[in-house]
Amino acid sequence: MTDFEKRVRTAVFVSFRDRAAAPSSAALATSLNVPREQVIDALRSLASQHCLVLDSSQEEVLMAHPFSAVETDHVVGIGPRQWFANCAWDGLAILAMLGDGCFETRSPATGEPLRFTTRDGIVEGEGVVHFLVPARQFWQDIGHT
Amino acid sequence: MGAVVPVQTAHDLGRVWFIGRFDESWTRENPATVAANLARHGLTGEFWDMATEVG
Repeated sequence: MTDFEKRVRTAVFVSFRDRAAAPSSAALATSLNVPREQVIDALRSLASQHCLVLDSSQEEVLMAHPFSAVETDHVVGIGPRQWFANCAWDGLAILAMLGDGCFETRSPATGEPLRFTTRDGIVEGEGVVHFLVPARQFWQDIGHT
Repeated sequence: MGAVVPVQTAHDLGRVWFIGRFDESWTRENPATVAANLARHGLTGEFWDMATEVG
């Protein structure tokens, strides 16, 4: 990873943390004071290194795990702020990264709404996370994983 | 099929899995460290073997 790619990667994650949203490639170009094409090249390289996932345009961030740039059924709330996660594990991970709050999702088996809260890092609420894909295959089809 | 993990374990694993992602100095953990982190949370065996791939 080049120094510039490190700056882009960090800017993406900080944006998710602070704004609960992915930065556009145009916004990254402006904030880093470089041409947008340079940012897109870096994003594509970071995607190839499995640091993030791009959308179908291959120019904008779709996921930077555990964060999702699009609305999902996996919603994390901390105070008045809200983030979208890619899966149940990612939702719990966002709480682990950012602090206590609540995580709302649905049972993939029944569609039943599920709600978990954390207090001092202790999860309140019964449940399990079902990993379908073996760990070494997580990135073979990251959207499915 | 797959692996079932208690929500507390998933939460705690998330903390170590995604540690440092907001830092420019972040680098991917090497496979041995990842394996150790997984094992510390009781996640061992073929399903959790990441010998060749780290996410």
